[in-house]
Amino acid sequence: MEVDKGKGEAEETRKVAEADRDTVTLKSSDGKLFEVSKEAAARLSTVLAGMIAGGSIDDNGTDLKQIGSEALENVVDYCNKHANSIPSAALISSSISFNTAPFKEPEEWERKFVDRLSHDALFDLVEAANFLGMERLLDVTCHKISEMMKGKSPDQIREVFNIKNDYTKEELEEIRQELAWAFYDD
Amino acid sequence: MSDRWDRLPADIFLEILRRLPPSPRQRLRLVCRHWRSVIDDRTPATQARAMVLAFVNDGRGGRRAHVLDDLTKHGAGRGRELKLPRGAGEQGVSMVGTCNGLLCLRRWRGDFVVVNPVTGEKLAVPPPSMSPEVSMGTTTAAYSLVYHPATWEYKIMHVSCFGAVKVFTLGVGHGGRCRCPSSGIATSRRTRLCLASVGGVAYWVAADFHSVMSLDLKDERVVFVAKLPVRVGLVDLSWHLTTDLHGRLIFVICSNELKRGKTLKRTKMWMLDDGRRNKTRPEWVLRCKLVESEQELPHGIAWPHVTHGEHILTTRQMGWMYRVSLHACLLSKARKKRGRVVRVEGSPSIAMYDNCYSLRTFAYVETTEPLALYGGNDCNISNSEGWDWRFDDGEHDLRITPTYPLIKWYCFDPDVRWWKKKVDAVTHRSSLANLSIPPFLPPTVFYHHHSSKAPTSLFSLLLELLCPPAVLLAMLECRAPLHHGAANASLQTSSPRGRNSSPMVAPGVAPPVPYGWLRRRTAVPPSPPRPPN
Repeated sequence: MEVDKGKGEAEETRKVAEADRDTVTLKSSDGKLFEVSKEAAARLSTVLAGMIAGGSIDDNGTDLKQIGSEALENVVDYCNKHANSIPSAALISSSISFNTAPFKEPEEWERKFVDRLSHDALFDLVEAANFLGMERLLDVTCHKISEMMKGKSPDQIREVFNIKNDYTKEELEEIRQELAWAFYDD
Repeated sequence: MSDRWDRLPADIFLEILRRLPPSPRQRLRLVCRHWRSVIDDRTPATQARAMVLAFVNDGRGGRRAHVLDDLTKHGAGRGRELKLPRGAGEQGVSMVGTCNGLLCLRRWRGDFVVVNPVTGEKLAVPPPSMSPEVSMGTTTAAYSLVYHPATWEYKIMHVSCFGAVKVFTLGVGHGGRCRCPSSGIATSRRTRLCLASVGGVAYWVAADFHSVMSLDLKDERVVFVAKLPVRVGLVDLSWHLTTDLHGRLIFVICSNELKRGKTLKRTKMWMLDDGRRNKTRPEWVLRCKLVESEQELPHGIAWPHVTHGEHILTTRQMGWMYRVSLHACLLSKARKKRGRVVRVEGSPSIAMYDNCYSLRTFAYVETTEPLALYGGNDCNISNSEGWDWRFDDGEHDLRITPTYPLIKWYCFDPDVRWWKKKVDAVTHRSSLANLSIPPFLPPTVFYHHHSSKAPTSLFSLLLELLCPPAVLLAMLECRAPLHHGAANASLQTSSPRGRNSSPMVAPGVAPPVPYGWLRRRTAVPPSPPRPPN
């Protein structure tokens, strides 16, 4: 699969896209163009699959106004890596209902893929994955964020995610009281 | 970053929260208002309302789990049945415990399966390795599924009757290796008594009948907690150590009492006030007394989950029909000087089970926490039908190599409330002659540990009989290096009986890890050679 990332090669990629109908060109909110294989896009993203099936794909770059270039770059990167690493049959069978489907452990490369991202990039990617309806990518990123919360106290979580504590002391004490009966048993 | 969380769609936030166990999720409400509102409004298990789970053995090879949502609803129903995955509801399966909505079941071969009934996921966990005699004598009561809140890990803990504690962490660590707690650990659990665990701490009654010991997963140290409130004698019918929903330790004792020429069954429930608030020593408080009418059939208590909020769970067996009913008796409002009184007479049943050979109760809460997170390190998650656990070399792995028993003598020091080590002796068979053995320790102890042929029942009987009360405890701790290699092999051959007594150690084959956790065939890497030191 031919991979061309945007960033200054926009013109070139568009030409490639026109010549080769196997790819889809995506346009980020700041106007950068990215190219991803049609097959991978349709397989991984329900939104893109719908667009391809409905013929609303623009050859000059499908506008994705919600997604910044950095996040889109990660999305495209993920699609390409995914296409290279997993046989498609395994994926098609795994598309079960979102809420009850047993969660699948991220694979080694997926772990590495999200580990290198900064917090901001990770959250951008989550939003992009949500917007594009990419369940697997959402799984991987949500897993990463829940791992970041693991074993941390509320104070540490606030520090890690830079969240402001908007409780008063009394309120905190009150919630702690409620938590005193929090469920524990063997 | 703060606004990032506000911008994050609630569905995504839920997806993240869904991956967390219910009790840490509760603690996340402390982070900020926005988080609290999402958790309160959107997560289903947030109510954290514990329910009662009845685990029924129907005597025909089936095991069923029923959930009772409402204890005030009386009737002869059975409650909502939980669907147990294949392999978890079969013959020989017994329940180790529940923790955060996950059920831990032990199968007849000694391996475990951890089940989340909501998602239908299951996780196969290998059994610990031990000699066949020990493993046959080991009951499910010796195990506990413990949740460690600081690391968010689940651990299966095993406290044997012979003085060793094994901890297996789900999904973390290296190949299910046992993390043997600090060298000070040497304590035996009283047989037939359950391990109780709460908030990352496991409690048990030591072999002296009288001391409650605990192992905190935080520092992996065995400490003395308190003496039992009453002396347990042979006349007592049954006694249980358990925990309640608030995480307090509960001790229940049923005994016969002579009153006005009649023998009455009395049940008393004690609660351990850990004294954390007043910074005093923990002490037992008599919580309630069960009063039964003389005419009715005698009640038994439901265990290990005896107390559920303001209710006490009792069971009653109807004659020979194997029909068991479950009752929830309300604690009386009136607080008497010596604990509250629970009147069980006339309390209607909340559930009734036919063909019930045994009924055990547990606390249960619904969770969507994915079990797949704990796959790996020999824990096997798969939905294939033939997931039966395969042992290396068949039964051989169920034996431990009696290579290097270390005998320690501990004597309880009341000043420091800790077991003080007296003697530390390495016993080779050849060096046994040099070791002075107190006369009350049966020679079978050594026999057992060297040839693994002594009958467990006799052995445990002797150990029970010969354990002097509270003053001196002879404890055996079989400590063997975790990785075998050249050093260990030479040790074996140097011992004159070693070669004969361990037939499973063939030359060139790495012996199984003693007192560790079993490994799967596919997962066994070649054991690293041990550098000679």
